[in-house]
Amino acid sequence: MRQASQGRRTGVVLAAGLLVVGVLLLWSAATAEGDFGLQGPRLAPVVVTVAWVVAAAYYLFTELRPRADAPGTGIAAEAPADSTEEDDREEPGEHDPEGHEPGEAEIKPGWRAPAGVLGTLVGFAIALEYAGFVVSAALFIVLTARVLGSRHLVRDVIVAIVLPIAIYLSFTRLLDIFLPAGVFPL
Amino acid sequence: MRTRILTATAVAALIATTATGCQKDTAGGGSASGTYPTKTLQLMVPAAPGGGWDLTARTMQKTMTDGKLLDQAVEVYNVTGAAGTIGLAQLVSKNRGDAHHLMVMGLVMVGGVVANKSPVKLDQVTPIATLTAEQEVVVVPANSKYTSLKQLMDDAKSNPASINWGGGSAGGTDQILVGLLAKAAGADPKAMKYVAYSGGGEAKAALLAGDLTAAVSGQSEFKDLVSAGKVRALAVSGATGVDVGEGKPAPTIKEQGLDVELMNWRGVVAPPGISDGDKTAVTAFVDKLHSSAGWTEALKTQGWEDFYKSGDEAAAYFTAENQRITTVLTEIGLG
Amino acid sequence: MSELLGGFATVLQPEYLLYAAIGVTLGTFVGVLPGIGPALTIALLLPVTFSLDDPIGTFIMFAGIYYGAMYGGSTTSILLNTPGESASVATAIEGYQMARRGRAKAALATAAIGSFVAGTISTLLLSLFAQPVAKLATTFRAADYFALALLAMVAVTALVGRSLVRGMLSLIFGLFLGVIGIDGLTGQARFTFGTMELLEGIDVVVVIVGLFAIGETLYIASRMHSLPEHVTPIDTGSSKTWLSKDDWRRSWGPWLRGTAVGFPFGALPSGGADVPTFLSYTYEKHRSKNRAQFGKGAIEGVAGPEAANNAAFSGVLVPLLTLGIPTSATAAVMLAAFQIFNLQPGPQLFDRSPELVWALIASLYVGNVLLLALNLPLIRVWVKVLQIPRPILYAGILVFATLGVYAATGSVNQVFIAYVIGVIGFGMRHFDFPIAPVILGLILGPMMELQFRRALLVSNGDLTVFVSRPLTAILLALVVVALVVPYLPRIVARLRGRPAETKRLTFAEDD
Repeated sequence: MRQASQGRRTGVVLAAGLLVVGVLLLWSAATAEGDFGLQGPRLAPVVVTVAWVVAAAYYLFTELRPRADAPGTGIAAEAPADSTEEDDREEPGEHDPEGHEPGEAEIKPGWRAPAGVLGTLVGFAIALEYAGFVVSAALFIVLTARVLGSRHLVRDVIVAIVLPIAIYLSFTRLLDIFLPAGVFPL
Repeated sequence: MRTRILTATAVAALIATTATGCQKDTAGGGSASGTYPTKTLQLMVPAAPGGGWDLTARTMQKTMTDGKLLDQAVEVYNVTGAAGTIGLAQLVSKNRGDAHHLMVMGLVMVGGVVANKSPVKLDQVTPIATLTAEQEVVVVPANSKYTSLKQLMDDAKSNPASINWGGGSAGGTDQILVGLLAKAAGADPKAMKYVAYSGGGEAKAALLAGDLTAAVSGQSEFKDLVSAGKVRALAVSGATGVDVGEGKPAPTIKEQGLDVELMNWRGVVAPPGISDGDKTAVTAFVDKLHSSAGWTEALKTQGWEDFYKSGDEAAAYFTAENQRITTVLTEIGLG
Repeated sequence: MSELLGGFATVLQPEYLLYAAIGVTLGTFVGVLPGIGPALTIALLLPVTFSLDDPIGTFIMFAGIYYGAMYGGSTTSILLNTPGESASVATAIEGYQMARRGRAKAALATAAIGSFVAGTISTLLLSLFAQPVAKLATTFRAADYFALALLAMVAVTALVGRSLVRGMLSLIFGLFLGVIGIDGLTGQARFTFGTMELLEGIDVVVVIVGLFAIGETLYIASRMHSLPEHVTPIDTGSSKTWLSKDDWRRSWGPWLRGTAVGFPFGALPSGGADVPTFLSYTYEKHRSKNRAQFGKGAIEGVAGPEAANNAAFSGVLVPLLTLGIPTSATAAVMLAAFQIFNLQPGPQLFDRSPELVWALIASLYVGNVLLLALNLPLIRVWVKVLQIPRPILYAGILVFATLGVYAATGSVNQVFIAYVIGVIGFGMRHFDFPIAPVILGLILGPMMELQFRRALLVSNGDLTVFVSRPLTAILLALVVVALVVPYLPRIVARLRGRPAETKRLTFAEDD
């Protein structure tokens, strides 16, 4: 999936980040007011965040550890399972969480498209109640398709007009489900 | 949905709507009392579909449309969350001044505002009316040693740890009743062991399985189990006894010497900031709904008690309930 | 029996058949919208049933909607990896891999036929054993539920993934999400950071839509530039048959076992349909001769969970009809539908309204048949979804995901919560964290905590409550067994002096 050294570095940063978030959450859980006893509401958050911190710390430890190291220092029962993780590092194709096509593993992920999609999503959600469902969904479809690499503007626009209107009419008229009408009163 | 029968006022409203680009924020176009509603009436259910408020709203919708009480469409939509306080916050912030936007609510919301420490309070909305109410019932398993509420409360007073109370969510009607009972019996409301369940069903299972000593719930919830002889009803919470499955009215709490009356009422409110004229118009419209034949019929099929108070009477009732519930929840330790 | 026949006589009237057909069709078409799962579909369509005046018609339609929604939800889980509720997550794991490898038709077919088989068998169980099974619901006390949840957790996560630490982090994240919101017992807010929106907690449906529909889309987007424009399934199997002989051979066992685990779980209050699907998945993976195929599209991994999911529904009806106890969100909605007609399900429902009850049960059989009749031919249509150009397909998925969350919660803020979780889901995919353990943590965590505390509350803090009753003690003993069993092959292998072949004894590594 990634180059060994670069992957290492991101791994360390990620693990450290998780650890920091975990510690902050633990702090927030431990300083809340209330009953920390077995029956009380404050114990579970502490238990969960402690587990988070421990797991994140262990993750950081595995990411920092030199690759060749024998995995013997962890909790005894966990060590064998963890060693398989090390094995998998060598088989990048199998390592992919989604099991996407083997060749896909070497794809260098792009950041522009997901960031763009996130942008259009946020715009969609904001516009939804003001511009209404039909208009905001139409704009969203055209822009998102564009961000996702579509170069067929006419096709996209047709879909963007037909689909939202069809959804709107069938949801509100047939199924009696409320959707914001906004500026486009049907 | 938004079928508009274009009366002169509605045209004005439409122009205003499209001009500002946001229909929801515009105030009800016409405030002339006789013609309300002048555009689509929106009815918010501050809970998921299928609950008591949802049923109330949809029954209102059906009665209004079937009885031709209005020329406009009625839309019902759900805003879920936190005993209705999410919907309450939305009504106050988004729908200010819009008389065509009503919300169904009830006693549970009064408790929810307190228990959830909601930043938006119920006195911020415009009270319109209370519509229906249901009594609460206290039940024990058939093999329980308790045959009267008094015995149960005596033990709750002398040995609170021996009684496992169960019912709906924390701070809801059921727990409020337990708190009121404890208070009236001279016990410490805080000492009552109340086990909250996410719904009447789960509490039912727990009562039958033996986790609970007594369960508190809406009057109809245990009807079938009572008439099957699996549980025994000790008391109901209203002013006069109702039949909860035994074939005869169950005794009220008052009849058993404790000064407690609690109705799980439901009502309707409008957003803040509507004009007095609008308020009168909305109230008149809900009055019309209440006096319609369709509503009487609906009350009968649903087994709801008619609990109608509108205008100033409703406002006074809201305030009184708010005060009482806040006090008892604080005493329970949920305030 | 004669009552059941009477039920059939009612249901087979043309008018009611029409209701059933409308229900199945509506359910399928709304359920198949990506990001809108059965739970949302039912919540969205419940008001439709308000418009009918006839209780029997309403329930017939409702059963149809439920079956349709459930199957529609599985369809999108398989084709697009966008499950809409927790009970479809297990299906998505192998189903999506099958679809990616051009076996979408077989996956959809084993889901459809498996649903039919499980639905029919479990409905038969419901008609024959409703009363005795109902006892189950009133036998379990808080301590037992805690033990059961713990058992389920251990059974499926003792083996959380190839990378134990990543799997654990996923699970812990799920547990964390489960803690957010008002505590059910005391009403105290936890991790809400002063916001109203988090008070109610984060809905499982919102999490699933975020992690799957939105997270998956963002992940695809990050790799879009190197992917072909069409998803194009290469259909390797013969187009004439849905399932090959081998598929049949591998499917029927999981169907039956899925039914066996789904039905009783459904009958338990706070059992629900999701836990048995995960149990079925784990079990099939363990015992399968094709274990190596798991994670790459093993048909057993679709057949089992789908059957369990469907069987659980009939299970859910047992306590609902006999005691008036709803054991799942869907059952709660059904209970509401009963109340619309001022019917209170309970011990006397069978005596008081036998016509209604038996018509409802008969309509389940009919609904199952209609579902199969509608969906087997539709498989051809659904797989065409994969031929929609990716940019349009994924833009559409996002529209439906947003729409579903908005329509169900009525709040844009919930939509934003789903987006945030979507970004996390994208990150998890990018960094190789398994997704399914999040859902497990989210479902089982709150159940364990709540029941643990309830058990202690009713026993006045006495910890012996967890061992004093045989049922609890047995369940907890099974927990210990489940903790040891996964290591047995390894121990045995070690004893025999062979290298441990344990890598594949894991759960959710490829989800």
